Amino acid sequence: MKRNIVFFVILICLFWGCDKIEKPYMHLNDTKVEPLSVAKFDSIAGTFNASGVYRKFLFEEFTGSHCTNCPDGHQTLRDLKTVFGDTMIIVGIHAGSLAEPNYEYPYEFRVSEGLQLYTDFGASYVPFGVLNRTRYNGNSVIIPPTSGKWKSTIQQRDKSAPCAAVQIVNQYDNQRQMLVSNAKVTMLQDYPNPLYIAFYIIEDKIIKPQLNHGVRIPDYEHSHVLRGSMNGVYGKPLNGTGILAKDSVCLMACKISFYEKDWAKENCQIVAFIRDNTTGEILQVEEKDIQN
Amino acid sequence: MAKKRKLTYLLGATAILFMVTVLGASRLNAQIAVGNGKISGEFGFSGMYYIPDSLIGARAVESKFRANTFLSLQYSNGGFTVGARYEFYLYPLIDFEDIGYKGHGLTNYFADYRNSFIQVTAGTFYEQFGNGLTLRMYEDRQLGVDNSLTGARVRITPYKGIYIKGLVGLERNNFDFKLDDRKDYVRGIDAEFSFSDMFPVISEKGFTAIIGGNFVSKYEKAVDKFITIYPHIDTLKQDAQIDLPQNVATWAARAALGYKGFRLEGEFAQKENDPNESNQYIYKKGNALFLSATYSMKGLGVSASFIRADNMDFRSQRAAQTITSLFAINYIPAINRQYSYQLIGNYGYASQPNGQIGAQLQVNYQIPRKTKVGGQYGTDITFNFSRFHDIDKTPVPMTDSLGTASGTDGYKSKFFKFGKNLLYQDIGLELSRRFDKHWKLILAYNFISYNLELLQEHGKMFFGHNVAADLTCKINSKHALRLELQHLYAKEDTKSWVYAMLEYSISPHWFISVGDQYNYGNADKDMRIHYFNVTGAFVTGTTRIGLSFGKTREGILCVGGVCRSVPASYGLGLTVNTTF
Repeated sequence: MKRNIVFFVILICLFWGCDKIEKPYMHLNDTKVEPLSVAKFDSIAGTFNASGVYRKFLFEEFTGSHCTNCPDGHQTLRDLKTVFGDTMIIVGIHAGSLAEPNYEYPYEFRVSEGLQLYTDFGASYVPFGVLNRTRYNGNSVIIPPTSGKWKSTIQQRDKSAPCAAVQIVNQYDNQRQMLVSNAKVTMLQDYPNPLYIAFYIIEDKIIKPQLNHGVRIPDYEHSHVLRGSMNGVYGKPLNGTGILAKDSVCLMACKISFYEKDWAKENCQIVAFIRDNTTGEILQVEEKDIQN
Repeated sequence: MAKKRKLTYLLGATAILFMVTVLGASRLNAQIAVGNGKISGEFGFSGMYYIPDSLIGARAVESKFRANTFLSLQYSNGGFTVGARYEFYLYPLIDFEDIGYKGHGLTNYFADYRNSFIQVTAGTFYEQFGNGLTLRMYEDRQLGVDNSLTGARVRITPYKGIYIKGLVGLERNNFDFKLDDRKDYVRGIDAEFSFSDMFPVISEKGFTAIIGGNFVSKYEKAVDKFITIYPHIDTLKQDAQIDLPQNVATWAARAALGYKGFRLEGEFAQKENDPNESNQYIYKKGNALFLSATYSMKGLGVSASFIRADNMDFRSQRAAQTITSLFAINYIPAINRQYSYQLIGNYGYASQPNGQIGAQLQVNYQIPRKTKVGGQYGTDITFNFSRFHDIDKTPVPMTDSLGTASGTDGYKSKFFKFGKNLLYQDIGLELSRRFDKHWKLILAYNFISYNLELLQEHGKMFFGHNVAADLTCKINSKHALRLELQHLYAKEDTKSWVYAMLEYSISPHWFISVGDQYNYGNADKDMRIHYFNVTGAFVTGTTRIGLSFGKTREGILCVGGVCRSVPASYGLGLTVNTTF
């Protein structure tokens, strides 16, 4: 009998075949590109000093061009940025009904990645903020803008030592209007869950109309506006599996074309962040201008 | 050239028909001994001369006489069997042409050897695992379904009561025989442990106990597949590429327990991510649950069953269209009662592998014979009830923003919650009574609720009351007369119909019938049409030759929950069937 069971199990193994497709199931364009070698990366980025690494945080601000209270949120973030400096990295996401273009606000700020995040976070209004995609209230990551909640939440954030360091090297080909962004991740600690890395592109100094307390401001300056992701909304696993041991180094690269896009590359930055794919929390984030 | 080839094919088919008719007439109804072995076979010819009739929608066809023809032969000697089947469907009946079942060739060929321990098959074969939730390769000639596998199969019985099957193969694609070009195949394994066979003491005490399980996996090479996201927002509308799994697995576990007249059985199946045409390329797992309980004793039988299927359309090729069963690997059984009544046949329930939940109850009771109520021969009463809904579905949030379910998990579904839409309901009562040696009467009433919109993609909810009477008068040992009357009362679709059929048979060789369906309730007076049919047949031994003339209404034909559309037709039909 035992022999029969072993035989059956072997047969199952022979016949069993299933490919489990992980999210995201779709991708918008071919972003695959060979990353730089470590030596080449280090020669451009400079010597890495682990002792100088500190944990930065990502603040995603959801907004809309005809959201009358949103400029208050923009001002709050400007104030917070002066307090937290380069520890704070902001991504502005236009979503919700108040971001839909209309006659007075015709510019399309919305991008598919932003709409997906808005939906996935269960949002129904703007403005609101999300800090490192950690839970704020129950299961919700949404932080309302009222009563200084953005500031207090940031002050109470997890300030534990970073598990990884992220360095970015951007290479822009003017002739092909192609950006290749390289990120080097150095693990500073062991981490139990799979880690993903995502590359977002954001842009400052976009002059477009904005509603502000009932008044249409035709030449409002929009900052850190999300233009899209280079490798999916939630990124891709580091090193294929997402599991890396302490002191290991992983290089990832993505490319994106600026052809026929109204993006000003001199105002664009790449935001690369590492995400715990089990909890969804963002563990480390870095930002780099496309053109230094 | 084409005309010459066409003529050759027709002559070939006619020659086969003539040969078999002559063989049939000479009563060749026994297997043919060849040495220590024997040859057996089956021949079928079903032809029709089509007459256009614009009123009923019977279209004009270029080749006016069309036929489905096949011949299968088997040679067996001891445990060894070889066989082959040739099908000539180059100019098939228009029903079959409509579903792409058109062509000719050797559609089935195999060699098989078996002894008490092992059975091996190479070539074409049919197979079923459990109730078929993960794999059912079968043929239904009437429907034009032939999901045979061409490959290899092994069945072993390592110990009494243990049955193991394994198979690999490519599924039939009508008359496309280019197997080398195919980029898909199916593999599977099934094991069953029958404790009542293993330990006779269990069966001796009236118990049965069986457990089983199987794994089925299909491989299909992934291709670049693009879907359109944000189709409703011009500025965001774009194509996105989705990742496709090349290997898709299903598994199932089943159990059956019985004690004397009581039997309880169940099977649960799950399918891993399988984005395909039928589910709009979503990545949700599929599952199906089938439960059945039966009880029988003298004069009483009760059966109840439950089925739920969610995203379980499982095919060899992900782009296969779902209007036919082509490339279907599994089968979600229809548990509702199957009828042969003409008028409600057009509202037969088609099993919905991608979303159905329902239950069925049937009670058979015989009022004892030689009682005042039961009469001399007893009276059979059958009550049945079945009801099927779609399943509860809550779209995942992304589908709203993306404007499509494709490329997402699609929806979430509470397992035992019924969906809002009723698909099908049948409440039926049937009485059957033999009055004496000559007279027998069957009376039946059915109330059918049928969701035309979801099951046939037109119309709305249909409610029909059907009454049927089937009266047989056995005049003497050779002659019998049968009268069938039906009335379907409805306010929807084509509304009310009546049907009458008179059949006269002279046993054992002849029978003739005259029937008419009349759509007297049609809202359009011009469409109140009579669909008459005259049928005659001659039977000798295992050979049957039939002739028919009349009209067939457009509709659907369902067998066991698998349906296909039937086009309207008018003409003269000829059938020849023989087995030897």
